[in-house]
Amino acid sequence: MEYDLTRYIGEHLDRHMVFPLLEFLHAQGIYDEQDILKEKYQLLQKTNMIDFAADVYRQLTGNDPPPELMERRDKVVFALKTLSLECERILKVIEDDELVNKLKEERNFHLNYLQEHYEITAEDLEALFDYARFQYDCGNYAATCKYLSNYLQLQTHSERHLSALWGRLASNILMQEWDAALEDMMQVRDAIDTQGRFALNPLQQLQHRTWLIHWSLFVFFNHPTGRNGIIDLFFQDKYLNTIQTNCPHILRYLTSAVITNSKRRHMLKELVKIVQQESHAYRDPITEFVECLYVNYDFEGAQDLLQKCETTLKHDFFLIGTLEEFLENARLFVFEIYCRIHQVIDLNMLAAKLNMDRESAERWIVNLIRNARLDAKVDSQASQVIMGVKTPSVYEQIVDSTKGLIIRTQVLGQNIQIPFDLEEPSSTVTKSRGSTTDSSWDKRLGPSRRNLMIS
Amino acid sequence: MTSRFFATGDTSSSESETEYSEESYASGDESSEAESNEEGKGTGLQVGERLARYLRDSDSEEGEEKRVVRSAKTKQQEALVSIIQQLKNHIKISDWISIQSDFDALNRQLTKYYRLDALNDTKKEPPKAYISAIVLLEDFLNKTAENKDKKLSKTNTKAFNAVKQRLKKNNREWEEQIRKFRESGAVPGEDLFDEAEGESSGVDEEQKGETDEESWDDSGVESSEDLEEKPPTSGGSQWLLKTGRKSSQAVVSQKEKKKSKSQAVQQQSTQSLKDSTDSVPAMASKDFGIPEDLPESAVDQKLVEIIATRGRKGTSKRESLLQLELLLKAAKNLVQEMEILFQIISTHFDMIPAAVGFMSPDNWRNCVQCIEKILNLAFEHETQVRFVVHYPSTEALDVSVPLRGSSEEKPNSTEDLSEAKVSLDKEDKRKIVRGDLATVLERIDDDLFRAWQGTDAYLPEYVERLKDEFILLKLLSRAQTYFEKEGELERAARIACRRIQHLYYKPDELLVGMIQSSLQNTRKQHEQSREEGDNQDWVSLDPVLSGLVYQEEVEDDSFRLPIPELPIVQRPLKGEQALLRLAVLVYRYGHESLKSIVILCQIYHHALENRFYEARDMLLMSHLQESIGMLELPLQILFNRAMAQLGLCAFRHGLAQETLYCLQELCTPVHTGLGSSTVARLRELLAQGIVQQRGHEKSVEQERLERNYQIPYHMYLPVDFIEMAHLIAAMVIEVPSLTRAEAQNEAPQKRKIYSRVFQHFLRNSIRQAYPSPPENTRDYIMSASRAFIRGHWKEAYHYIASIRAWESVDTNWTQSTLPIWRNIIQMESLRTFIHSYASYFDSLSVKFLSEWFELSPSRVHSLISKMIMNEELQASWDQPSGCVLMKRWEPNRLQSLCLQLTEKCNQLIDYNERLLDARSGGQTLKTEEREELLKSASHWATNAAGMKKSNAESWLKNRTAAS
Repeated sequence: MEYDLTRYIGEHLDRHMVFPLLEFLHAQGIYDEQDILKEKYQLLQKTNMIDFAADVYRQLTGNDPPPELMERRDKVVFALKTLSLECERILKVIEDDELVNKLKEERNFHLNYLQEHYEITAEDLEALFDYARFQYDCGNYAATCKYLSNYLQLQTHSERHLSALWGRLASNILMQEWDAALEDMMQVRDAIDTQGRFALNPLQQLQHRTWLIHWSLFVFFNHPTGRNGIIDLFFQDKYLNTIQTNCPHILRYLTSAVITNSKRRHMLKELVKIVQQESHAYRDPITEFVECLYVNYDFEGAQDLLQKCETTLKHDFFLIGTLEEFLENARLFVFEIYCRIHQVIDLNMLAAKLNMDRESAERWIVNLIRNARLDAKVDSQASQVIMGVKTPSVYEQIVDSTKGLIIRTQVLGQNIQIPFDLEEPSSTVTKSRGSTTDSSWDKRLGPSRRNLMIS
Repeated sequence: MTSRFFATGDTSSSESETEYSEESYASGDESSEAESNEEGKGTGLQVGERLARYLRDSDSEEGEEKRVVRSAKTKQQEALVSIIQQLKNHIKISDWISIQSDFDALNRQLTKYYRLDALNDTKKEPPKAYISAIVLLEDFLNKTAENKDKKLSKTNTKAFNAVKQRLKKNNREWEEQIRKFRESGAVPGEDLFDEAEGESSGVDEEQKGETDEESWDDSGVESSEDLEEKPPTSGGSQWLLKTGRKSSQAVVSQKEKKKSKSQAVQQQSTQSLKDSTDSVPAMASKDFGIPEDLPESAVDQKLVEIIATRGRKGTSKRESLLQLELLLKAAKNLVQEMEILFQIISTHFDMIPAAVGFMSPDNWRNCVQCIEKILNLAFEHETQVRFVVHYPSTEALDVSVPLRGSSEEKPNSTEDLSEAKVSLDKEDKRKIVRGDLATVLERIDDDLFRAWQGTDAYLPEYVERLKDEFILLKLLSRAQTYFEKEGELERAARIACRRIQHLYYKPDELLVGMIQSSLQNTRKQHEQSREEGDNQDWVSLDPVLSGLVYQEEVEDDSFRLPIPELPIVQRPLKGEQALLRLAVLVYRYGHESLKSIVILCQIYHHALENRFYEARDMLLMSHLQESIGMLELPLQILFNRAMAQLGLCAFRHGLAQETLYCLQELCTPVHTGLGSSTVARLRELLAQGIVQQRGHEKSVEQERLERNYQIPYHMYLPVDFIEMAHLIAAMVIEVPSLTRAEAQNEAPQKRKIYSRVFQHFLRNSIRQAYPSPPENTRDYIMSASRAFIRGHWKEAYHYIASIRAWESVDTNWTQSTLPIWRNIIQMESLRTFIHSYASYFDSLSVKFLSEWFELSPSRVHSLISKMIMNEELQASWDQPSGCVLMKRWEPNRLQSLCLQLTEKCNQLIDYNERLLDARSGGQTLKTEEREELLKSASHWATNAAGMKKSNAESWLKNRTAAS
């Protein structure tokens, strides 16, 4: 599959998160089933989900799993027990929901108090972290989530704070708790940017952001408000930088998010700029579609690309859900631009362009006109759409240009009331005059790579 | 005679009662040799007196007998011998306390002997006696240590241990000599007398053929010493001297043959060595009197001597070079050989004529050979070291100690080799040679660079010097391998940086060509040599291959240059890959400034190989453009070169905007007279030729600097082509924007300026009533622009294609670039045409436009659509007929008056604000100015129609003058 991104995305995901992707590919059937199973097995080998691995092995070969797998299973169980023994004390407290609630109500749920009353030390806490980590490896995400939440509450300053956040995010994603995951994501985002004792260096920040971008795809494309979130997050300068330097393939998701989101239409211009800038580094039908439509105004090309987009989207784990929406919106985009530069359009041609038959195309346009989204008339006899001609209104122009005059005069008046000999500088009317010369090279050639240092 | 008197006094004083005070004095002076050790002093004191008396007695007897004939040196020798005699006696009775003091005396004698020599500037002698003494001592020591059962008294044991320790320490640095001494089969302690006698008499019975020769030579030395006083006694010695040298030369060359991996070069080297020795008159060579078999300490001595004369007035550098070369043959051990080689190199550097500033090619090649020898030795020794446990594997080239007792000489020799470390740490078991190979290589590289600068590029000599680059590259790559092996990565990075600077400007094609031609050469040579019965693998002999290739295993064969003649494994890496590997080394271990150089080189190379985006991203990530103005000059030049190349790369890709950005600053003259100096400015910025500017005299210093940083001819960038690229890019951007601005009646001030230079040229060109046919690049482009404005794209293209600068670059470039620009010109001229003539049309059909501009209809459609969307054109498509309909809208009288009024209102407020601003901003206008301003304002107020722009301008001027 030409435009399959699983490989690139997989690089930046946690091992456990790749399983859904593989399952999806399995269902799609574009790759050899055996290959996928093999991959899955290899992935599982490094986790502690032995039973799952054994299942996959059976699927793969039809034989019973090799004995060393079973041996490992025993080892894992043993390790789990040891770890749980190590943090027995703290587990006792945490497992008791009533106690925890009570403590929380009394605002005593912190390490000092626990240390005094339950003999829980910092080491116990760290052991809890290890235990949670091990649970995660075994695929017990719910437990991981719970332990880590407690860990995060009790331990506020630690090198492992960020790791714990990541762990909770991962388990929330894998449990498909999107609300919690979204919250975690924001926490991780803030944690990456925090300055302080455990601040990351720029390179680490870049890496963490790359991870966050990839992990967040799960959340954004599943959470109801995710479409807004993805645009808001990825268009932040830092994340845009990250995308451009580390993972330009994310542009596909960003593009489709912008196209399917009618409320963030204004980001389109910026998106086009970025897509154009990165076109040498990454292109697929979706970004090409945007480029074709907004840079070259090549409608036929856009039409062809739209079909390619369809197949690409169908095979994308994250975007398959947005397929219909995407196509509808893309069509609308094409039509909108088409209408803006045309006076008279042939309906048959339009129908062909929109991938509809003539009747439904006419209906579609009439609907648009009725919803007052289009200033046009349909000439049914000549089968043409005639656009309303906008003439610039002098009245509007005059109103626009005189709008500011009143305020400016008011300011003038205020300033003039200050006595003449009082030489106080009034800053209200001081405008910045110096013409800014944009000689810096960054501005012209690629604005967003500035923050990356070669180390 | 006085000196002789003093000398004798000096020798005898060492054996007098004042020994103790002498000792303390000596210990202060000679840090390493006569390390006074605390306990030794105590025991040495009591016995010393007794001993000294004894010594004096025996010495006075001897002295009486021989004083008449012996020189100061021989005297010393005798003193030495007498001490040894004592030592032997004490050994017989195993009186360790006495032995200890004897040992002290021995060392003292040695240092004195050295000091004397250095001061008197006389020829040195090997302390053979000394060596034999310490060997004797060592043997005895070992023997005593073996039969421990034999009890020693308490004091004796103490002394024994002290001697043992000190001897061990002492002998470490004489190891080589001791070994030789033992090999020569001489009986320790026995032959010293004979030798001493042999030296004075010129007859040596015990020593075999080798040493025989030596004694002959020694006599030669002595005779040469006072050649003025007495003519050489034996004519035979002269004869012997010469034959001896020649035969040894043969031996040396034979050895070298064995050693050398690249035989051809080596032969050349021996050849040139022979040449140099042959060229010397026989008399002169005899004058220096350096025999091949000079004993090893004498070689050191001699070396010190030669170093000492360095930089003094009246010393002929040539002479000392010859001396060194002769000395080289006499060198006994590795350290010596390397040191002498280093000395030869630095002497070569000393010999650079000040007027020219670089070595002659021959000298340069000699130098390179010396370095090569050092490298060879280093490589060889490295393997040798594995066998010997005593020497840790790092036979560092740049650490030092070999010149015993001559620490005061050190600054003299190290001033040149800036990085030479002096580590006197005796515990460091490394064998040490002074001199930094990396620095030497850098210097030799610089010298080649200067040679390129200083040679006329049109002479055959230049080509010859260009060929030298291969030799150097090969050397550099070997040195790098060596440093990498030795783990001296910082040095390896320095070397790698140099290699990068030789590689970065060469496109892969050029590399392929070079390698192929040199392969042919070597093949020819190989065929010849095969006739002579030599059948080595011809590929391995090739100088280019071994120099340019980065020999590393790569998995992907596509990384290699496509040279069908070679098997895949031997194919060199592509320039990009080779650069990358070298660059990584520098990024990891190199110095900061090296990193900047390397990154610029990489940018340049990316651009050269048409990888625009890689180059651009690299440049942006390097952040160099922000700080380049503060960096040193060569780096700035390199930056300019990289930018120029990046611009050219963008030009080849047809990226007009990027081309303009890259080249704009390079092509904009600093002075206000925008006139003719574009190319001159470019030359200056790229350091390609010294430019004299009108009305701007350069100081001598400035000019010298400029001259220093000139780029050699073969690295030149095509200046004309750069100018052309800049102007063409400016044309396709400026002209449409110009016509657009005119079509939309934009005020000239509001217009965005892309290229000031181009605008200036264009204005001048349009101003001409009768344009002349184009002559230079600029004329051509101006003619093209005029045609462009009129919509005659073919004419414009014709002008551009006929610019001569296209011929100055590779035809492949031209062929691939021209069509791209033809396309761009078509599109931009379509835009220009529509801008300028849209107002004369009601509608335009796609068909007509596509025919006229030879563009596909869909292309025309998309271009015009874009213009409509960007609101450059007030029009819309009529889809069924395929026409674009112009929209025109004229306001009626009332409307236009209303619009004018609002505009005036805005202006009024503007003026008021400015007035107030000027008052309250602290920058009060002068009264007359204010009056003027008020006047102009009131003038405007009364004549609502007639507010002139000039007033506004003058106001602005006043403002700026006031602030």
